[in-house]
Amino acid sequence: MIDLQPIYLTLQLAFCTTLILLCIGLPLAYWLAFSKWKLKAIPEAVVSLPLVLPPSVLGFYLLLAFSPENTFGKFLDQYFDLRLVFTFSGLVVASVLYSLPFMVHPIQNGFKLLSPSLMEASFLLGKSKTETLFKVLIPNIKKSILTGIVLTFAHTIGEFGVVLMVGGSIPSETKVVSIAIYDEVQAMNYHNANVYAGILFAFAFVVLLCVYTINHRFSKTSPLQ
Amino acid sequence: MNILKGKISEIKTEGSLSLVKIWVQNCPITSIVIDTAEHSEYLKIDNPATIIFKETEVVLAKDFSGIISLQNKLDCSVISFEKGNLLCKITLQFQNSKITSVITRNAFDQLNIQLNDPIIAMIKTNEISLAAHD
Amino acid sequence: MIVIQIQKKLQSATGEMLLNLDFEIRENEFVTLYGASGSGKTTTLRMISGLTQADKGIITVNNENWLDTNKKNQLPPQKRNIAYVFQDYALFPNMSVRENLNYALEKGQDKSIVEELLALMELQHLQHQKPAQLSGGQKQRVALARALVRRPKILLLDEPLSAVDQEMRIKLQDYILQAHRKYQLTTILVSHDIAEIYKMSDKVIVLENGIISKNGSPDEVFSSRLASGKFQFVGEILKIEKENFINIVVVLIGNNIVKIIAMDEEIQDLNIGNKVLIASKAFNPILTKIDSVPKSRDL
Repeated sequence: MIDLQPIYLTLQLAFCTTLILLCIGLPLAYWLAFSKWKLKAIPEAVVSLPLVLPPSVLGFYLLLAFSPENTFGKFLDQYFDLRLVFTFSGLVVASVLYSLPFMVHPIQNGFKLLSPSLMEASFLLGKSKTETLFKVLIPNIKKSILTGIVLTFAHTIGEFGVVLMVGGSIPSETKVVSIAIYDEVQAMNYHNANVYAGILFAFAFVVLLCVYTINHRFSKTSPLQ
Repeated sequence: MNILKGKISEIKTEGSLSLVKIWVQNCPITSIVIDTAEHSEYLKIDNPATIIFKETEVVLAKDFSGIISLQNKLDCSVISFEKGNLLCKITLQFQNSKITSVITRNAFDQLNIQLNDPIIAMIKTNEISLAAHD
Repeated sequence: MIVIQIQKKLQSATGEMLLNLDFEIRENEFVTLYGASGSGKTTTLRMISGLTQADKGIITVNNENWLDTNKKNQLPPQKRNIAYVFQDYALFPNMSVRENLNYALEKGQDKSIVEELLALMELQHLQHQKPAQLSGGQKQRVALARALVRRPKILLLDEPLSAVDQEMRIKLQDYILQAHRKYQLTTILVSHDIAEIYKMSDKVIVLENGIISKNGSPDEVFSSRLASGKFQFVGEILKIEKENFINIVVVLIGNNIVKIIAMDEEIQDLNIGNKVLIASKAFNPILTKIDSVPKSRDL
């Protein structure tokens, strides 16, 4: 009988990561889209780093940073009693960093594609930046936000390198599906590996299918987007 | 469009109409306009003015004698013409400018216009437009 | 009374340009900003509304200071209470026509103004439609209505009529004039269309390369082209027919087609679609009352 724990853990990780990233990504994307700061290129580059870095590089640095032997890890351990190496929380933090561009880029693009006059019109109607953001900007980039959510969710599910470096393969704690497949192959259990791989494959396909279907419907009802 | 350049020498005003006399070299030309010196910058004595009139408003006369109500009479000579079935276009030398007249073919034939003929071009006062010099 | 004395450096196609403005607008006046594209018209509106920062200068509206760069005073756009109609209308796509208007309401403001504006702009039958379902002219009316919800005293219109056809344009001009009078607005319109300017404005400000080159009534500003031509219109060339040495130029003026005789030299640089000024002495036209048009109309 195949162990369902890794599947459950994977979904849990993807869900937490997506939720946290939505909260961080939206304001970050808003700032990157509209800020006139001269050095904006720096945060932009940092956000995009996970796209080009091998996951093992990111994983390696995170492992060093989280390690209780080092300053940051020690600080977390002493003041928050938080250990991020080989724990589920550590996986979440690592995934958030690793999937950052997948949430930020679509939303940032969505903001940028909106006509600047929408925001200006709202200001001239006496509305604050916050009210404009929630009542005018966000409702008009639903599609971009949905894309960000789905990409982040799917990307987190497909993670391997960072998870392996930061989390290892502790059952019920850090052993997600992608790691489980690797373990099963190492143990020559091709059948189990096949089942896990098949589940991931089907899941990814269904998710993408949903996104495209919804996007088509969106663009039909609202040609402006 | 015929265009001549001159200088305003006299302005008579009644109500919102003004009768303006402009000298183009040594030939006076008058124009009536719905404008007064009060309301228009350009209507000042000694100001340069551009005279504009349409080719089709130029009346031609040869060996003219008698009295006529047309005030603007320009002594010209024929330098070229083009004949159509209904209309003819005649280019005239007036001082150092050229003016063009378009008259009917019948009139052209009656006047028996030839190259270098001396001819008088006449334009009604109310057909002359004025523009300020640019 | 609006007093504007502002300067701003702009990057234009031909290099750097200094927009240097100094003008006053009286209350309830309808003023048009006229000039070639890139002459600074839109930037002027944006600086009045606070969307673009001026480098230097002051803006005073009814003795209230909106901008004074010396005192580092700058009233944010939210507090200026200006009605602004954007070139692209800027309707919120996620809201229906009525919701767009409702959004503009201030906290605690009486909602009856929304009904009033929907009626004035004849939008009741469209009130539940989303902007994407509307035509250009309808969007323009919604944008105008929305801008007026907060009962502003100043209306800024950035070439709102450039994207609609001639017939719609004339109707929309009437809506704008109606709103201007009914709400006693001080209106500033950006327009390229001389016929429109004559119809709408009390005053024209002509911008050339960032500087006011002329400022006065439409008559004063435009009639100097042909000083004594009291009978003049702006039209668009539809056709040029050549007959021997003369040409018959067919011109559309508003909804009317007129034919004008021109010589070859006059049409040398004229093409179909060009805008032209047609002028004649006021002594020639014949006036006839419409309900008794004479049989012979070959005037």
